[in-house]
Amino acid sequence: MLSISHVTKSFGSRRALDDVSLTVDKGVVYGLLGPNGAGKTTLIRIATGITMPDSGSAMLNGHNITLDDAISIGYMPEERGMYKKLTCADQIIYMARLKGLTAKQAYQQLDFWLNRFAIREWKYKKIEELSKGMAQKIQFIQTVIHQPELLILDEPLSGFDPVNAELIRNEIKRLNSEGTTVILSTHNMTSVEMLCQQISLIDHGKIVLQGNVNDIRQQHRTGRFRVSLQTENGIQQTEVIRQEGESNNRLVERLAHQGQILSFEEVMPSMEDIFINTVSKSATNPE
Amino acid sequence: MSSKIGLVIVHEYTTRVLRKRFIFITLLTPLIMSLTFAIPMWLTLDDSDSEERTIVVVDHSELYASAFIDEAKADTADKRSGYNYVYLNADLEQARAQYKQVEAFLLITGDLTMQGNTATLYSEKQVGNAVVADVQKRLTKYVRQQKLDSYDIEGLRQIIADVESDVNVKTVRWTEQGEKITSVDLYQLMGLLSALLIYMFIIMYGSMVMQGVVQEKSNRIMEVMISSVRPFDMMMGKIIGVALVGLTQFAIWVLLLVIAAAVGMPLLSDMLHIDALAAYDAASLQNTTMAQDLYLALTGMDFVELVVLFVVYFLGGYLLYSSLYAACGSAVDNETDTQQFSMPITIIVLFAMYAGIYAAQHPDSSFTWWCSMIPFTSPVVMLVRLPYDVAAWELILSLAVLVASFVATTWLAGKIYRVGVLMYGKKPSWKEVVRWIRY
Repeated sequence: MLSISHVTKSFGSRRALDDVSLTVDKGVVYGLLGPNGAGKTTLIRIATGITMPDSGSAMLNGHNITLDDAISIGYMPEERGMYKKLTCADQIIYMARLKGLTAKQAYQQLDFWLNRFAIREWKYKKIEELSKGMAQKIQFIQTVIHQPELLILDEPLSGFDPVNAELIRNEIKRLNSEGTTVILSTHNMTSVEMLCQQISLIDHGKIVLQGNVNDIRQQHRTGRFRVSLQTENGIQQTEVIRQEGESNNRLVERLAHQGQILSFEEVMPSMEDIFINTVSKSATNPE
Repeated sequence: MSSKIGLVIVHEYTTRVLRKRFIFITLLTPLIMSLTFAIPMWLTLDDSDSEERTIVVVDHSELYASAFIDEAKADTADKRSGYNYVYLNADLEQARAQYKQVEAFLLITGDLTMQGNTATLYSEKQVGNAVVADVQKRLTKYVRQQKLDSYDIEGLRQIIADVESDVNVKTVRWTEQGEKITSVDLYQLMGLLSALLIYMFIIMYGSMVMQGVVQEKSNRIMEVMISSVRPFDMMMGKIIGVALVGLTQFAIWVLLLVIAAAVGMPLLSDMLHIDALAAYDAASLQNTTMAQDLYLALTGMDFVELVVLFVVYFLGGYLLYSSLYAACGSAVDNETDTQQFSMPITIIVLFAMYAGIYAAQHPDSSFTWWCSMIPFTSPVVMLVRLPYDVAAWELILSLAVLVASFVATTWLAGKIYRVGVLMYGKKPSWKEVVRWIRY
């Protein structure tokens, strides 16, 4: 659906993106990860046609992305902004109408989403009266109100408490299951594990890790196991590391000598570990 | 796409007009304006009514009693605006002992027809200009009469009054329809008035557009906007929306003015004593031929054409300048920086004003002609030129250039907006702005 190939972008002497390529297939949730200032927002702006790449190409459904595509995409920028003096309803309706909905459709969608988030009573509240998290919800609604095929969310969960973060995650999942392709940039690794099928990890403008989330976790297995043993001193919980060239069976044998094995489970690396490892590795060897 | 311009216009218009601040300012401005006129007026009226200020005249020459006493008592209208004179034949020291709390003492030591400087005003406090002027006026008038009388020519006063004349040169232009009475004064006045109106409108509402853009930047809303509506549509909608706000405000003011005139005029003339006003009117309309000429000149003009062209140029000028202001707002990211970037625009507006004033004096010069074609000055200069017969092709050319440059500058503003809005935290250099346009 979206394909970015060999994109380079500099601001002055600083290279924000360096030969970045990625492909987002229809129907997936794609995660863009990376530390602050890695170039995620620049990449997203190129994907929405707001910024032009210096070289390389960004294609949407087989044609070069222009600013007009941004209008059909549902894009939630990291910088949240709304007209402070407007009421929630006016803000959402205005954006929905700009995105091409008729007045009738816009009001229908507005009611649907306000009900969905159980925030009907905010309808005539002014944006400036809302808390950050509340405003965030309105922003989310105005992003998805025109039922875009492609949704690009820059840090969609920042500013939410855990309950509301879960709510938004569920909405993203639901929209995805209904066929919406989602690209999200985030620091929140829990959401990556819960939502994303594929990721690209960007650091210093370069892609340092890319692929299917499950594959990546497989590749980054460290051979650590969590074991519970029944020994003379009672139940012991330990973590052991499989030695180089050792098979799981050999490890179990080795453990069996120490006591009765109650449970034996491989510790899969969390995305957080992978993120930290990869980024610190690329920091120590820049090239 | 054009429906989006409509949406933006509606948004920009309603959010501004329905705001309490707009209603407040719209109603308050005329109130403050009229108060600034009314209060000093009321004060002077009140002042002369409540306490008549006294000037004690100590005349050693004993020649000027009638200059103060007779006239002052006879003329009630004069009394209202002037001072109460007490004529005293005494010493200055005595007078000072006798009268406390008077405005001033006028000491006349000799014949003023011989020597002009024998009158002196003494006072405790510094006397105002009005006192000196009043005394001077009275003495000058009196001494002049005295001198005239000293020639002892029969009916001299009559002769003087008779030779006092006011020559009025009529201007008539030969046109295809025949002779047409014109009025140069009227044309100049109309041209300058409309130029001033355009200037005010541009400055007021142009900066409103600029503020709107800057606010959108500081609210961080434009990244959403830019991915929802084309920058050109956005700019166009904003500029037209604010123009409608301005027109609404003007319309309300005109309405208030009409109401105020209908209600206030009778009240005002009541306050100022109708007799005096009527007398003044009669005096000013004495020269009836002049009034007639003015009337003929007014009717000689094609009003419909003038009004239509005024509106067209008015809007054209506003739209062009506000698109520049919008571009300026896109380039900066806080209100204080707007000063620096809007400076060149303000200078151009001022230049246009001066070009208009020049054009009023030299309507046929080639400088005026060029200025009526150049879009930045044409709204002002063409309006000044209009009464002096402008060929149709000139009008069409000038308007075409104006509209084309408006569209071009709006497009340009959109370009700068598109890039400028995403740059925060640093003030762009002019070089960068040029690069954004090419982008």
